[in-house]
Amino acid sequence: MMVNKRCLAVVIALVVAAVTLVGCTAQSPVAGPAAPVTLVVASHDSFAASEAVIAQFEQEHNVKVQFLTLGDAGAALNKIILSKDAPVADLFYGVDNTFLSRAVTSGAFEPYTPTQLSAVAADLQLDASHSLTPIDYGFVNLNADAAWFKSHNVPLPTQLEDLIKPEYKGLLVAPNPATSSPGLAFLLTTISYFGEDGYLDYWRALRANDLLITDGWSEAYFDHFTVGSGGKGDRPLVVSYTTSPPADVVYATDGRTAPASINVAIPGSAFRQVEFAGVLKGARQPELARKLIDFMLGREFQEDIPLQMFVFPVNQEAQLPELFTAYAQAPADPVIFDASAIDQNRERWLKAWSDVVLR
Amino acid sequence: MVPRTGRRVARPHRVRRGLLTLLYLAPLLFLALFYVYPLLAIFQASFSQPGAFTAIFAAILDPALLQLVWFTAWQAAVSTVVTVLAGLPLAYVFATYDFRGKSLLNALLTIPFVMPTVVVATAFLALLGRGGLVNETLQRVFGVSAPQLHAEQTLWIILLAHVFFNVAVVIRTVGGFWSNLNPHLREAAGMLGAPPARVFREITLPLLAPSLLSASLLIFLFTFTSFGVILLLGGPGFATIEVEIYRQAVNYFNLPIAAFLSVLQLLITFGVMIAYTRAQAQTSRTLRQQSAKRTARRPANWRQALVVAVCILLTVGALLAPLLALAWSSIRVDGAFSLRYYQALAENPRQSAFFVPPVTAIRNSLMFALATLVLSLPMGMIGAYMLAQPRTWLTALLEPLLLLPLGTSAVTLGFGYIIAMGELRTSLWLVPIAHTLIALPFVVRTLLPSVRALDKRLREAAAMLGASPARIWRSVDAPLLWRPLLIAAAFAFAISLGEFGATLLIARPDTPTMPMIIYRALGQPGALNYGQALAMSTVLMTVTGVALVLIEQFRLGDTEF
Amino acid sequence: MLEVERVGKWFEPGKLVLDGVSLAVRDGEIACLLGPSGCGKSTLLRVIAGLETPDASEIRFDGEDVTALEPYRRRFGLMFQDYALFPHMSVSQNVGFGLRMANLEQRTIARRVQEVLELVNLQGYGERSVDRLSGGEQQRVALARTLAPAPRLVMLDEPLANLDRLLREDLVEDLRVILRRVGATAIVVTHDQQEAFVLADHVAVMRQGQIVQEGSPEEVYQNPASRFVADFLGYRNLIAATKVEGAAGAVFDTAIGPISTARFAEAPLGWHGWIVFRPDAATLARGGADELKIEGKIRTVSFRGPITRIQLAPAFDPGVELVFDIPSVTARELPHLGDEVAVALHADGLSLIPAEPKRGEPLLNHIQQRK
Repeated sequence: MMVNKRCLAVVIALVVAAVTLVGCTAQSPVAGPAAPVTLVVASHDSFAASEAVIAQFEQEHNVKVQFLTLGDAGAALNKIILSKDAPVADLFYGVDNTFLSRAVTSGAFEPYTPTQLSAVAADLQLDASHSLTPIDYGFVNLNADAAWFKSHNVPLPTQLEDLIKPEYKGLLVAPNPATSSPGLAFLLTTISYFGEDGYLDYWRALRANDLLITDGWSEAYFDHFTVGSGGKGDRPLVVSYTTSPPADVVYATDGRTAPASINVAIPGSAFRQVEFAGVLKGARQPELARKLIDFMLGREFQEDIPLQMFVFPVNQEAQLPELFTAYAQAPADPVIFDASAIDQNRERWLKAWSDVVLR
Repeated sequence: MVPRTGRRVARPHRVRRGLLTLLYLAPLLFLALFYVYPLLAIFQASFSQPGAFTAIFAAILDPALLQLVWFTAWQAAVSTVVTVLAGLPLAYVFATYDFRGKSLLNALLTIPFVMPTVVVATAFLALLGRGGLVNETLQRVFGVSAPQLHAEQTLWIILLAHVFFNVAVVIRTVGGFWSNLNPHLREAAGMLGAPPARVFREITLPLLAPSLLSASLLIFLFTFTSFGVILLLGGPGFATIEVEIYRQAVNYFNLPIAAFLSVLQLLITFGVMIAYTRAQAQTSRTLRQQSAKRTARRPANWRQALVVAVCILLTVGALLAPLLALAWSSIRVDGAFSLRYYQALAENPRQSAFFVPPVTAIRNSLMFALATLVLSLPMGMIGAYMLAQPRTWLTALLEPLLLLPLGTSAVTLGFGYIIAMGELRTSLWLVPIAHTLIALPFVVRTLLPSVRALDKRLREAAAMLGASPARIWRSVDAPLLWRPLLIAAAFAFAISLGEFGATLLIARPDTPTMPMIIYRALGQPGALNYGQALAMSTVLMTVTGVALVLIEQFRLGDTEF
Repeated sequence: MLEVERVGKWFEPGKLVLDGVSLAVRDGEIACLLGPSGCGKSTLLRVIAGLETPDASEIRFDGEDVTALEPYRRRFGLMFQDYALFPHMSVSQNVGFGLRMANLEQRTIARRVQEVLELVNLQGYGERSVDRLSGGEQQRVALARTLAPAPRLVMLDEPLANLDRLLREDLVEDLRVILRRVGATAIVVTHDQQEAFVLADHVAVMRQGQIVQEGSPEEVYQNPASRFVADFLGYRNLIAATKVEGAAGAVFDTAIGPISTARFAEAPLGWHGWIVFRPDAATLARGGADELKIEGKIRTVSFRGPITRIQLAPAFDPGVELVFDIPSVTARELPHLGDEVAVALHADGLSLIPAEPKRGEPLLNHIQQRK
């Protein structure tokens, strides 16, 4: 009997605790009548911004910004497209150029041309319909473990063909193009470099040269790349971003001021990714959403971008942090791929690639 | 007080029956609302796309489909068998012996079950990868330069990971059932001249069959829909149906094919469940159960003590080594001991808007887990009772329905939520609801063998003595269900703690859970990010362990019944 | 022949369950371990079966030391109180289990199963499922299963405890007949003295891990060795007594007055303990000088068919309460409530119980030293 009572008491306590706890937290975004309106911003998992910058926008427009994350870049955009008849948010940030034409043709976005677009380089303005506004861009590029190459007395590769040479056997790890956006970028790079006729032969040769494919970028970088894994991995070359070396310094534990990883400068091997944001059709706060697009192109937000998300701001007036200018210079001749060509051929290329590399 | 006859109590009057029906409908209603409806919505949206059936028809004709299905089923079957075999010795030790630290160990062994796949993959590679501890040791011991162990991106590491994740299911469900088996049955067989091996084969194993089947089914469903392990450890060379669904839905946005594969996955799951239900009906019988306190004994001599020690050491070694390696890495910074990574969790040097102190993340996780517990236990209990009833259309519907969520593609269901859940899409309540959907099959399966084995005569006797149904439950059923109920609670709580559900749900970065912090940290380069993921993983392990130990503590209540 | 010597067993340190028990059971003999629950009788049975490892002991069967032998090699049979029937097997599979373990031929097994089922009067039950049997039928299946492999020693743990009273009285006779017919050497554990008396050739009464009295049922019944045994056997008339005279016969000073009897000459003068009057050794007195008589007033009467039970308040001290069962045949005039009567006691119906219970030397110290 004693336990029965105790049991009952425990159950009641659990119910009360759970309801109040979830209730409290669930309530917080649903503000009272006097409070400012809420602007809902959806993005993929990697979105980040400074608190002060967000607060500045909230103050200027007497608005509360509520963020939602919808999974990785692909999943997030798909969720946005699926819910276009009843959007979950007012604004979506995080369409990259490989998904651009899918996003534009889906009709999920409301066209808007912000005035600050003039400060953005013309070649980044990829959407003629202005459904989506470029916010930032970056480059997928090979990173190398500088110390490894020095101590093993191997020169850094200077062209993509080097990677299939015997001295580079078993050195490269790359994420799967089918499931990772830098992986896809690298595949597109090889297509651009070797042409549709040649890229599969190159991958065949890479595979023969003991290329390691992981499913995601995190596994490639943290589990296999010698720098990212703290020496546990055995791959001194990784497909990552030109901005990874600055991050290596920012998130170092030993107070180092120069990164342990360096960008490999191979002409025509850096793939440019541009990220866009757009106002969603059917948004509850379309006016505020447009204001936020404007704000995202403004200097405060743009200068916040590099060290939050480790990509470059599109606004040419934005100052870059020193780490970026020192270790992550934008490559001179990036691969710029036509968005609609990607959309049309993605599935075919990936299938062909899988057949060659994974089977 | 009017003296009540047994007959009147045994037949509840109409109001009570109405209430009972309503109670019975709770899990059905829940599943209809949060499972069937969103799933139908996404299927409808997918199949109504132009050209959907042409694409599906082409996919059916593609021989790659058969290969995909075959590999998925094959790896799941092998994983299930290996996991059950690996879990049995410890289930035996747990059911038979009492020893110091048993409840702590029990809690620790459940931790792998709830660890996020990313964390486990990292831990596995740190141990078994080319540059991992095992290879490093082998290289040093044998003085060779090349790594000797090539486990990375092989089938072996997939199987190993599946065992690692799911062995707790065997230990808990089979062990729990085992400890309730009347030990006289084994002893009687022994007295009749059966040596231990034969006792096991002819008595214990057949009697354990219901719980073995139950555990196997759960593990099969779990590994059949395996996603993270296949991607992260198996690498891009392996694909299950679930992985292919993800690729089709997310990378190609090929919803018709994704939906078709989801339906295929559901159909196979359904077929397996029908086979399971048949087998279960043949093996389940009313067993007079014993309270576990009476059956578990301290090892009586050094030989038994040795068996216990070896079993524990092997299992613990195999299961906890990767986790310990992880915890060890989290306090090693640049070759020295340091709490730097833990400090970093509480710092916000770049003033990120999404920064949340670790304590808040722990609180968020605990609160979702608590809500999951509150939702899933009563519904799971009702579900188990319904399934234990003689078959009606209601039970026939509920049986597969309660399990199907495990065989359902998370991506597909997540997309279904987006279409169908309206305002609830962005509500925090959706988190415990989704966790409940995942936990419910475990709760039901854990309770079912024990509910089925409840001696009806005891209940009838209580009813004859004038006990109300509620009273009967408290005084007859509850003491026997207390243990499996705790196991179920542990599962539900732990599942919720470790669940990431990125593909399933819309996350609110202002209320992150512990797994979300881990994922976020792994999304950016830099040693400190990696270290924070290690630190938060260790915190997650610790919180899970402590929570499980606390749940175990309630077992002390055994004596008070 | 089974010989058990100085069995010691504890479950928790310092708490002895068996305290140096020794026991011998001759071939073909049915021994009964009798005692209240918790006295260690079932544990002793399990030690003999090999299911519990004793902390000190030697167990021999026909001279062979079986102490370290695994239970399945002992060729002993044990029937559990809850029967422990295998729920996944039919009646004949249950009964044939032990034969199968002995690797007998299929045909031999079938014949033997048939035979044993007939022995317990369950012919035709072979194919039934065990959970569809009544309690009595289950009990007989369990018995059949235990007997089927013809074990060297049959052990029955409370074989009748789970049955209702009427059935029990029938089955206890059947059980004796069956055990006799197969000529089994048997140990039966029970808490019911009736059962023990009906079944046993040899009764051992246990208390707190020790055997406190052993002997034939008659011996034990007629001469309980201690207050505990007397209480346990259901004696009600225990009167504190001191021997005050002891020349020709004995005279005891008791609460109900002096009692003189020709027996108990061997008790020394000043002996102190209890005198027990067996309730069934009394008649209503009708004259006769040298009969042992107690006079008093009848407080209650209950007619029970063959006997009439009366409660008597002795004239010497009406505060004491004595119970007698007067045979209804001799009571031509049945006693009535309130009658002043004299009860005549048969001298053989008296027993003496010493004040100090005889207890064996505790093994505890010995065992703790060994560990």
